[in-house]
Amino acid sequence: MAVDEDGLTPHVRGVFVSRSEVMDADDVRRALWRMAHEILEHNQGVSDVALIGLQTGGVPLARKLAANLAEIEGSNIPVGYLDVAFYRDDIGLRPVSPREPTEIPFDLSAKTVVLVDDVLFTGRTIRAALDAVTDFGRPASVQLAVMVDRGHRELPIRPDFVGKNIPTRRDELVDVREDSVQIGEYKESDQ
Amino acid sequence: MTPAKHVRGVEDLGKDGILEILELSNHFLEVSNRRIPKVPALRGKTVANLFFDDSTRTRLSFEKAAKRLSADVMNFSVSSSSVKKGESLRDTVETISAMGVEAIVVRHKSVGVPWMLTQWTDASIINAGDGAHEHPTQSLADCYTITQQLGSIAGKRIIIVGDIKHSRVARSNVKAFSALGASVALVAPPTLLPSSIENWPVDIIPDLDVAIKEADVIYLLRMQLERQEESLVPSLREYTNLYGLTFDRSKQLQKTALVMHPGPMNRGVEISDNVPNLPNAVITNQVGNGVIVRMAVLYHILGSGIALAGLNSEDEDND
Amino acid sequence: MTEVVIKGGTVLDKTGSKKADIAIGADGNIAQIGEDIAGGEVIDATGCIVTSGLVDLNSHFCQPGDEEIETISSGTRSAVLGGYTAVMLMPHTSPTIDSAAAVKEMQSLRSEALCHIEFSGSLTVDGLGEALSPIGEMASLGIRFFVHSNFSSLNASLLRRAMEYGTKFDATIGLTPFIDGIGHMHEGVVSSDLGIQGIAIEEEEILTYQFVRMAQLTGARLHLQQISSPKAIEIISAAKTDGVSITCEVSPHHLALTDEEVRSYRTVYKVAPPLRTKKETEGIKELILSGQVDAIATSHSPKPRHLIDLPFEEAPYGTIGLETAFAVSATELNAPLSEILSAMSWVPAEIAGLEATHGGVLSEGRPGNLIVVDENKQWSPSVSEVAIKNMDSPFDGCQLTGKIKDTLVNGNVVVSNGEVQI
Repeated sequence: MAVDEDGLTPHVRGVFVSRSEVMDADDVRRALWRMAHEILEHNQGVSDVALIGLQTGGVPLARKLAANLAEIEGSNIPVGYLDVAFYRDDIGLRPVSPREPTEIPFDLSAKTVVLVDDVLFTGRTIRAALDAVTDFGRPASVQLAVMVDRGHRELPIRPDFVGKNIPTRRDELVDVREDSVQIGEYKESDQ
Repeated sequence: MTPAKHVRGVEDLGKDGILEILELSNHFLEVSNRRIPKVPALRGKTVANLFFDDSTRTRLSFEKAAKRLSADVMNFSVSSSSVKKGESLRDTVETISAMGVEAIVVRHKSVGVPWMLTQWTDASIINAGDGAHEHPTQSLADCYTITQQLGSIAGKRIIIVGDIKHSRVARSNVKAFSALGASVALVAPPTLLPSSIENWPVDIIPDLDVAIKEADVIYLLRMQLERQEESLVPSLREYTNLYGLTFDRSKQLQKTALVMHPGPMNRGVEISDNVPNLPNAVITNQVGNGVIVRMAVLYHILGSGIALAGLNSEDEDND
Repeated sequence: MTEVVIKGGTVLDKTGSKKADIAIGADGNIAQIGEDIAGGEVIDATGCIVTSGLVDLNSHFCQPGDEEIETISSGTRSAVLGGYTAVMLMPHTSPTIDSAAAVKEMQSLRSEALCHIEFSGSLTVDGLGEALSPIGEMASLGIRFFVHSNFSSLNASLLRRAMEYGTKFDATIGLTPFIDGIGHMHEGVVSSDLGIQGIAIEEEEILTYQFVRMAQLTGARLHLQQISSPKAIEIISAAKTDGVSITCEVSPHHLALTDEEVRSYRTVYKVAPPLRTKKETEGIKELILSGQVDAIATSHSPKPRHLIDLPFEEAPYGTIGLETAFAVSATELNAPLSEILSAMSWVPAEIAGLEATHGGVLSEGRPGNLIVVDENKQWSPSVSEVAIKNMDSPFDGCQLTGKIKDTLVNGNVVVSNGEVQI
């Protein structure tokens, strides 16, 4: 998932090769339960909360968090999906194409918007997402939930809800799946 | 696929390129429906509209597309530029290029001008119509409209009716529709068909009343009034009787068949006054989609990085 | 006294070929043809053919009127580089050569030329096809060739009168069966694809037939210029059999290039009549080899850079060709050199009335209008190599076989080893 989660047309010809598994399926499940509770606690309920999953890695996590919140609180909360390609700061430097649709079927004005992504790295995707959200309305506040914070921030952005902090080398890759989180790297393929 | 550097003709994109533009268009359709229908994707990029031949509609469509992508737009039109003072095409393009533009949208009454310009500038060239040759972005808007309405173009019967000989829209659409798997038929008086089209992937059907029954799409071309003066048709009245989509004739259309026209329409000539109001007439959709696909074309070219000398793969962002 | 000796080559003329040296005397005439001639400046012709200089029947230099494009001086420079020792200039200058005064002005420019220049007069005033030029007045100054090339004007009755009137002055009437109408290129697959108005080849054939019949009616001597249709040549051949006094020429570009070139939108391919299809280029080549084409003539017609850079439909007709004509014809025809020289030197010299000084038979006492040809030399024209005035050639980058090594005009070496000496 993390291999192409930044919405880039992959131009490094290679395949993700896992080196170690840092979270197993239970770890992921428990982290999502904890994060749901933290969101509830932090916002004193979910009456004004909306989740926006960032395409593509954040979308299944946003769905799962919404399901957890619904189970805890007994009410459905709005979930949207956002592809930030058009807001990226590296357009024109390399091919940047949107992968999946943007769908925000609710008015996010005055809402507490929780952006959900799989990995927080340089912070540039979140910067793009903040700009994009502004074009859809004026939220009361914007918060950030990520499964993995791997460090190496290039912008003053910090997460509000984290599944796990994982120190990494800059050249490593983090692959978040629904049943595991792996660290690895690209291996050049024969192509 | 490698993004195209230019969109001078349908062949610069090919089937894969067309499909990619149509896919991108879905995203820009969504953008266009937003509260603020504008994205910062092409901030800092400059698009020059270089129109040697008046076409306010096409120019405005490109201008709106560029602005929705936050590109800067410079407009040059023949009446305000120095071409009339004897400045050459080459001088004009080199001057605009020297001001720093990433893309030039060009409309010219002569065939081949978009291809000529690439000798004199590094900017990407987008053809907004060259003589009777090509009008690829109109064709993309048409492909997108058909795909939206009918789900896909593959396997559809599309009949193009009217002045094929002088029509850049027809030439681009024959290429694009057939590349996407449609079966295309042309219906026109012999004087308005090009002389040698045996290599074109089309059928020729002489009688509109025969062709109309099998059409999934009927695409009407604008009938220039001067064709009558050139004696290419005896009279517009006779043209309308034989090749116009009159209200009576429109009853022969299949229920789901689309009625299309690139505009501007000559109501009462190629299309009867009330036909554009039929539920399956998607002529205004074509106009709206024109802006959408032009956003996709500009983004495809300028957002891809292909316009830059070398791609910098060091700048990988796993974020 | 021997001034120049062309040594070691094979001398080729109408009568045949033999190994021989040619000595040029101080008077510029051929002094001796024989073996092992010594003395004077030596031109090494080892492995080369030595023959009479080429004669072009259809060149457009732009003097007077458009000297920044081409002058007598720059045009004849191209000519001698291409092996021409005589060129016939067309009268479409500014002003048009349609009066005795204009002819006299042209004749005064001969001193600027690097080779012999012959002049033609315009058949009609200003070339407009509206009124007959003073043919007799021009004929009295030696003009024997009168042309008209744009048949969007000139009606049949005026053409008939011109032909009838010309017979009194032993005139040759040069006509190009071309109508400058709404078309810009050959009508066919390419024009249909590109959406450029076409010119049907049948137009040329119909005009040719009209001209031929009118020549038969009036007894005029006709030379049809720049034929691009094999059928038109067949019409001309049939007329010759009928006793009509008629000759015809084709251009090198109509042998080598087709309308497919227009897909590049380069205006060097915009010529009148237009480039046709492979079927026509092949047909014309066969007709040359069967002796049905009298001459190959360049229609060398330069246009300046700012006109070359116009869109195809807006650009004027014309392309350059003097420097490449021999190589293009030799490469395309791939025939014995004598057949190419017949069409480029011997017959054109007769049509131009220059047979006393050019073409034909090489013998002692004739003017030293000679070329040394390296038949097997491979080369590729480029802008820097070909253009005198930075003009694109339609043959830039083409692989050609056969090159003019040396050119002598009246015994003077004007081109030596492919370099102009003056």
